[in-house]
Amino acid sequence: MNHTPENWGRPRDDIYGFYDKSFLQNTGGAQQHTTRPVVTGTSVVALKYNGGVVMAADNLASYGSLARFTDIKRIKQVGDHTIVGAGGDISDMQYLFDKLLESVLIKEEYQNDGHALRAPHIYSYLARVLYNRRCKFNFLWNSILVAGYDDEKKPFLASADLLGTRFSSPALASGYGAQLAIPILRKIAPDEASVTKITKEQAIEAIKLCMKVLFYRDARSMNKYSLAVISEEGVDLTHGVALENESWKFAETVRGYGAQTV
Amino acid sequence: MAYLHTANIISDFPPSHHHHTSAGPFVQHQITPYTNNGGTILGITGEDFVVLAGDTRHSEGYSINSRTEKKVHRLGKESSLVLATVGFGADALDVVETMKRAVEDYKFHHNKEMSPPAAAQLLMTILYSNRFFPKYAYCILVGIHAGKGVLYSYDVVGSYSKSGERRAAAGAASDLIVPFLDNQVELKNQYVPYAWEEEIPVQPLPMEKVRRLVKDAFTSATERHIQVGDGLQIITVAASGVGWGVSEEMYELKKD
Amino acid sequence: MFRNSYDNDSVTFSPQGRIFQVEYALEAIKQGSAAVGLVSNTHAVLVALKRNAEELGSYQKKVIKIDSHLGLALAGLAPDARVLSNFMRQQSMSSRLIYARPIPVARVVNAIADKAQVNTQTYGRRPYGVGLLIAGVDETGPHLWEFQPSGMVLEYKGAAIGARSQSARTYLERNFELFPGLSRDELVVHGLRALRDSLAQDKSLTSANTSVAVVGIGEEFKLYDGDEVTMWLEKVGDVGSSRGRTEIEQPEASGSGPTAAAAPDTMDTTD
Repeated sequence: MNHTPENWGRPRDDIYGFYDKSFLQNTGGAQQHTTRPVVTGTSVVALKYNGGVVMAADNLASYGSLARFTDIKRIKQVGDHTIVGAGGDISDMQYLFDKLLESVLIKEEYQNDGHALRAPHIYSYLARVLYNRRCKFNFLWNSILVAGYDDEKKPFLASADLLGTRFSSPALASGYGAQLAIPILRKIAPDEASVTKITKEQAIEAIKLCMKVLFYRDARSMNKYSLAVISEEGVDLTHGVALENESWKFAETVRGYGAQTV
Repeated sequence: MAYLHTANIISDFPPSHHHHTSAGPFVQHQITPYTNNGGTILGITGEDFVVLAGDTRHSEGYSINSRTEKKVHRLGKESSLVLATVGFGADALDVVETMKRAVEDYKFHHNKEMSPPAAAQLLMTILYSNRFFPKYAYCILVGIHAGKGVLYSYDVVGSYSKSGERRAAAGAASDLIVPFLDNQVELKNQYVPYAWEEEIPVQPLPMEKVRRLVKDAFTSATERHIQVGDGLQIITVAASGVGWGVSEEMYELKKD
Repeated sequence: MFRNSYDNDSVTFSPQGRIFQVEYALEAIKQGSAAVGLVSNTHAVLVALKRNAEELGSYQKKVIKIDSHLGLALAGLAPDARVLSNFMRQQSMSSRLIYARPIPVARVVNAIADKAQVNTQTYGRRPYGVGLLIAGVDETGPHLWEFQPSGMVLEYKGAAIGARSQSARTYLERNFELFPGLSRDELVVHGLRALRDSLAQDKSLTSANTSVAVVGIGEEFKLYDGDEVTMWLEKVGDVGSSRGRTEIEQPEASGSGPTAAAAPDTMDTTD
């Protein structure tokens, strides 16, 4: 006799014959968790500079190989000087951004006591949420970057993913960005000391270059993205920034994939 | 994205207890709740001190996530306890957080610092309480007890030696470092020159010698292991007469 | 003992709009020995008088550390204070664990205020029988809060609770305008002088019966007990009760105290 929860209250096969369970949502176990991401966003890239952080993420949400939505905002401003960028499952990202973060911010606002959550606090919270969910085998399928200022008012940039893994670095990128953008960014920001020599303009330029390289090579990317610049004045977050000086000239020189004759 | 096509990096550990097999011809995508973030930790005791060190590279697969993530953590501002963890970064940090909290709680309730033997047993309890969904964190715990440097090392489900150990290494390059420690700390296979099979007696090492061994171990491991490098964090806990001191030294490792 | 038909529980108002059980709880605070708190622009200080029930016993703990930036002094039922402080520690640790942030002082104070208020509105419960002075530092600077079993909390520049605390309060009222600019040590001395004023006749502040705690911007909560208090008492100079004295004491005469402090022109000599 099958005693698993989905059989509770169902007619017994040995008496009433085979019960057609095909209408049931899941037949594998009691509760189904997310086992794969569905609609996804690709890389998020970010770089610290002297006095702040620059971050970018494109506006595409893919459904497998289908470019499903082209106006998705994957960077959220959280408070005066903090931003969060997310890749991975878009619905999980929107749950994080619109449900969890929003309610945390509202609760904080209601206290009205002069305190505000800043980047390290938001990061700590999100990393804990992601880790708690992975411990329940119920992943929030994202990889996130949090940028802002730390308690000493120095630029802050850190990463957390669906497993709850956390780390920090002067230049960070998730997804394909870890392969394609990081080498570009580490060239100008190999360590924390080098950050003080990078200007805001240089940082923006480097991030824009990364977005271009990613668009050239990442098949799940697009040429329109959100760009966020954190400076002491606050967050300058622009959605729908178009890729500049795009050129596919290099493509003709690429060898090794198709049936080239030479 | 790398994690969308999750490679089973840690296929041998832990044995997956979460088997889903789909009926169709497609192999269902399977996520593992673990990853391996590389790195190595190493601890050596002396007579009245103990040194605990770890590299600062944080990696996943062939990617270096960060060159500056520390693995060695003090468990309290006024405590001699220092804990190093390596394995799956998120679990490792969680174990450290849990221990820090327990040490703080202990001080509130008992008005004194938790002793290393107590902390050692507590850490075993914490790790073993996750026996059936282990925290993938290899731990080395050190401190000063009764004026002596003590060291305990653990596997991921909490087994440890109550009497402590002279030295321990864990993580990616532990296979490379352990034989080196056997030879240099336990003086295995070391004989008195020109004497017939007379072993060199094992003696507690002086602090400078220990620090030099630690640096040598890590520079060598950095040469041979891709997950080890970038920086070395060395924490020394010394029972200097009346009191004791905890000091940290950062040492550069190759970044290739 | 005074009784009426409206004080059997904490959920019934008297026709005059009073809740007697809550008022009795406030009386319990006055049974406890005195505690004084005061703040400057940089520091918050707690001082308290410890009592020992009998010669053979130890002194009651009056100051409890909650976190590295936060602590409290109590007057009233110590077990109730212990329960409240354990709760505050939990709140404090959660804040650090989840947000990596030391809990803002007002938040943890409001958390116990809400707990206390529930007890004044739930049948079968009794209000906490303890008053607290909570001193802490957060991003908005040093703070001193008073907690009452009614669920009321208020922020103060200087406050005193417990037995004969009115005398300490009088001292604070006469001197509080000096507090903002005072140094750490001067602030403690003023706290101890206020506490001294709440002493019973022929009693004095000793290292055995006095607790001192200091927390400041960039400075962790530090509790001084036992021998550590001696250095503070030396700074105060005269540590004896001024009650029943005919002469008005001049605190400056001790020489080691803060020079800016104005001496109270009269002392409360009633008990």
